[in-house]
Amino acid sequence: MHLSRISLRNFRNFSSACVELGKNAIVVGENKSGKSNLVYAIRLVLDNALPESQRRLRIEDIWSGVGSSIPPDTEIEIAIDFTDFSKNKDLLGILGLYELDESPGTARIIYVCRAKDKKIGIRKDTDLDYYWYGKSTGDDGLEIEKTLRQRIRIDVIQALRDADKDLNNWRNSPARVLLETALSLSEQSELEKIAQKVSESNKEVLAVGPIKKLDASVRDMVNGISGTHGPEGMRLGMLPATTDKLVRAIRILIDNGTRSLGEESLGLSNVIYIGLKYLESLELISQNERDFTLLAIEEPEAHLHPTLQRTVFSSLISGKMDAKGDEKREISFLLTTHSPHIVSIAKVRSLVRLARSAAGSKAYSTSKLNISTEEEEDLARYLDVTRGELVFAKGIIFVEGDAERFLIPAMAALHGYELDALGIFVCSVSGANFSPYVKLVGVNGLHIPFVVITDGDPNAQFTGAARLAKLSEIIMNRAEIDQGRQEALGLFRGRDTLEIDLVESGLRKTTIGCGAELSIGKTMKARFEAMLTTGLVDRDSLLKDINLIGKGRFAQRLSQRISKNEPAEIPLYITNALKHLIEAMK
Amino acid sequence: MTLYDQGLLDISENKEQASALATTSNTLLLAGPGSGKTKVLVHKVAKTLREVLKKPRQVACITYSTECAAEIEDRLDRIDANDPDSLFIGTVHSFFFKWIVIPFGSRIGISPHIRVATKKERDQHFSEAVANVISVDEEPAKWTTHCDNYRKDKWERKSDWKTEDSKAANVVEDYERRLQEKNLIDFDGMVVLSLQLLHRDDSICKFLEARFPFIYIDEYQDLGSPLHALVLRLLKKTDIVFFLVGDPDQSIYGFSGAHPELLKEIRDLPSFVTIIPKINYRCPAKIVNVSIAALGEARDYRASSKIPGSIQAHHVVSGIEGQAKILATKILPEYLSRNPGMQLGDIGVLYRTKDIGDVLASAFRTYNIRCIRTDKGVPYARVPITRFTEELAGYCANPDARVLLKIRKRFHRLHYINGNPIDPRLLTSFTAWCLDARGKGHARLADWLGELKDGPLKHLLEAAESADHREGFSSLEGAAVKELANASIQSFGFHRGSELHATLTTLHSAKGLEFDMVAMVGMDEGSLPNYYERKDQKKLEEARRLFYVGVTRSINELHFLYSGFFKNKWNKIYRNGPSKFMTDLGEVFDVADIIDGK
Repeated sequence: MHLSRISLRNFRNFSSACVELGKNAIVVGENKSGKSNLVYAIRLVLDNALPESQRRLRIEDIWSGVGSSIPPDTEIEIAIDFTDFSKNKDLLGILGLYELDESPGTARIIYVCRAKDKKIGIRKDTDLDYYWYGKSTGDDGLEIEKTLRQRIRIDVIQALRDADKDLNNWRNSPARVLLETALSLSEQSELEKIAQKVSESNKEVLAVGPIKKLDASVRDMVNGISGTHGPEGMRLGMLPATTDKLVRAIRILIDNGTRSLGEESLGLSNVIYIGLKYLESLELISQNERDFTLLAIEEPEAHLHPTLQRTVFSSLISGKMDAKGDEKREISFLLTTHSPHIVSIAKVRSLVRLARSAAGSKAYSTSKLNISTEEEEDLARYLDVTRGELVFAKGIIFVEGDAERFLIPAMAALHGYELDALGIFVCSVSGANFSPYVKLVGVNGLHIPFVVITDGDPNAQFTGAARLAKLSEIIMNRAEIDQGRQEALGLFRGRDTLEIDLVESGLRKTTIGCGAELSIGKTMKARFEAMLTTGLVDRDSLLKDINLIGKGRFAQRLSQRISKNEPAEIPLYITNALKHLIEAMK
Repeated sequence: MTLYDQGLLDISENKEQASALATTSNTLLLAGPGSGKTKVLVHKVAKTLREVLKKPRQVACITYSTECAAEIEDRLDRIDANDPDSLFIGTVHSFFFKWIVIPFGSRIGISPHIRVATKKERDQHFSEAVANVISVDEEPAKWTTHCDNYRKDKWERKSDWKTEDSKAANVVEDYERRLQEKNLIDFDGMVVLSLQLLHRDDSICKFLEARFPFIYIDEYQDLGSPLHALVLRLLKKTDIVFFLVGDPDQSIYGFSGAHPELLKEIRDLPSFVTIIPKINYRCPAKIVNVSIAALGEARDYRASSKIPGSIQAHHVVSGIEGQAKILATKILPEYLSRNPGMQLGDIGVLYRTKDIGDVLASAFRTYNIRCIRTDKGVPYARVPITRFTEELAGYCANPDARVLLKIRKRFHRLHYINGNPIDPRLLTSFTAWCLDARGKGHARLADWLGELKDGPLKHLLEAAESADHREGFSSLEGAAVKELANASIQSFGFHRGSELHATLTTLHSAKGLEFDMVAMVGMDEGSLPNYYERKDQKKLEEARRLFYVGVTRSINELHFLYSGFFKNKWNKIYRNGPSKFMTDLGEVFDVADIIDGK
């Protein structure tokens, strides 16, 4: 089972947002886009441990866009859909009641906060009250049984956590459930033997001269000042020597038992904490104390080296750590992150992006992407290798290869666009297959403004025009050949290849000069210099020479030259692409 | 040893009971009278809860009436097995309503906020339907039973729905439409809709299986074809394990659509194991044998009681009034002097119709025999709120801490809406009120009801969802100023049974009861069997079963009273002799053993 959809209305920075989800979710978004609020929203619906005071929302929790005078019928509504539970009889028996008539197999649970009395309206916090419904809040709405929140759980590991402190505090420790279970399964006689040994060790410690003296003086002091009202039977020792207290004393030690966790690095404490939390959930599910856990981890990357980020979370998300490999997994993850490394191990379909807008934050997900298995693999590899950087972009320029990756930013700078500062990433698709990428960031995906810049390739079998026509079909469901209309969709093509287009632009001298600089051999150099003097360019010869130099190297040097250049005309299609993107990002 | 363990031990000593307890697959327990079926059912529920059931799944226990449900709950309480989170105990209707109609009704346009129609609303809309479809002058009462049964039997609404009896079909449809417009539903509607939903969506069957892997049903023979259809559907589509308890020989509610053949259908299913307990723990051997003879078929029952028992028939020439007088002045006092350890509460007087009951009540009043009527002859609605009020009255007159606990639970249950807890303050203030009200047994009923209405029952009666509670309570208030005008809280509270009062009840309401002495009054042709039954074989069989039920109520003495004639309500006399059921016994037993001369 997993959550399939979350919808939020009028809650904090969300006016109306809805996100489809897959098995797990990796949520990215700029600061203040609402990542923590999203987790909180889920807790309002599902968290059995959320205190009443936190569940009872206040006026400040209502989306500010409703106005300073709040309409009396305003409602904060958070709805969570579950799906894929029919094979699990426990879950079916609980959620089956709330199955949507229009989507069999999906159940909906809703939290609503509204005015107690519409006639009084919403003027102070105490005018608000909250309710739960199943299926809908309207005429078809049902009341929720309390069993639901006991069996379907969310555990939150918050940002700014103190893993050390929590691990060492018995009541909050994720190890508690595990240790208590182990205790209940252990042979009482074995534990008693150990308790006996502890008792002996306590005695031996006290036999050490100076410690014995200290023990006596502490006792004398305390009993002296408190008289008969003091603590009974006080003495120094290492551990309480009873079987049940022994369990509480068990802790995680590092370095073969020589160091305790507090001395360990904060990062590794976090890893241990997260691992134990997961194990605790597995244990509670197998003990039939609950049927499902959503593990929400805020900033899972905290204090972790990038490599550790990747290994820890790809292992957990892949499910290979589950106790019973063949049973349907009943633990889902929701990670909110700023880390490209976490994104790099995410499944393509589990990405969620929150973006602020004038109409409140919006949520976009990749769970419903219409991509083939191969496309998905391509994207997965891409995200892996590029550390998912494109997910964090505010605007994207898709280009064919590394050459463009060097040249476009340099050219943009010439025009006064500092791409980095603007949050625009130039992403190379290493070829000409833009389709999966366009789908990934398009309106059915992460919803990031983008442009595609590709070569004209008029003589190739698959021209740039045709390439863009195919892309326009993905975007608009209609293949556009007309260049103007393609450009309106953000699809830009040159006339020939980039190098030729550069030579035909105001960067002509810079480009040819670069070729001369990098020429291999006098003959090549002569050719370039001739081009500079005569102004005549042999297209094929030029391209052949650049190939010999190495396209990447050529582009790298050329981009350096460009940045040292005076402002000059860059190819028009690139200028148009940049303008289009800047406009779309507004 | 806990009561539960004691119960298990008892059951282990009875072969069939032990088998029934041990089964793990579909089981049919054909439990004759006095066979301890409730004990087996209750312990089976407890055993399943303790040993087999895993949270969050539940066991559903379906009974015939709210009283039966309450009794099973009490018995589960006694053996510490009542876990509300794991159990649903209720009537067929409440099961259908709560687990099928409310959650899934929206799929066919029924809102979950639908309200159960009160009797008045049902009658009103039905009358309107009859007036609309048949004619304004038509008497609705003539159509009620027929339409009810037609509606239930033909729930599938296949092609024969309109063709077999188009008038009834149209009346029913008109009636259903009127209810739906007012967002109301009636009991039979719950049943019909549930069946339609189950057949429409397999996913609902799957949900029921996920929620209730075990379904236990009591008095299966009385629950009718709709429940049977539900069971068959679930058997087909799910792995739910059923434990069905019933006795075809005690099927006496044919007029409300019950069919004893349904039990036979279950019995013939290969997936069911049928267990038939042989021991009757209640009746003495003589009465067991007579009861089998009364059925006219062979049954393998034997008595375990060592009491010799006795059966006597009394011929009283002066008709029902005479029978009542002889009973009050001779038979009952003689019984009491014969059995010094017994009280009036150990006596049950059974009769066919309420008219006879009225005569008996009047005679008993005249001759100062304290009695209570537990048949439907109470002048107010027999619904949960009036039942609760009766118990509360009993407590006020006779404060007993255990009774208080029970009443608190009932109070809680009355306020139970959709599994959400009652406001604890209500429960606390109610308890305080009860403690205060102790010993006020002699106050006037009408005044006391007023106190209740403004006090502990105020919140419940004023709640929007409580229309039927309001209706029930006001029927009680009405009776309190009319028929029960002179009643004290005490007499009202002890109404349902008390050690100091003899029980007067119709045969139909006697099921499940037992008495040391049973007197069956009016054992004449024309009364039992009545005019219609004498003419129709099937009806005669059911009348025979009614007789059987009466006979098997006795622990010790059984008395028949007859006059040899029947006087109808227009005072016309039919001389057809004593009831053939009684005289047929003479063919099996020595006449002298049975018929006592004048």
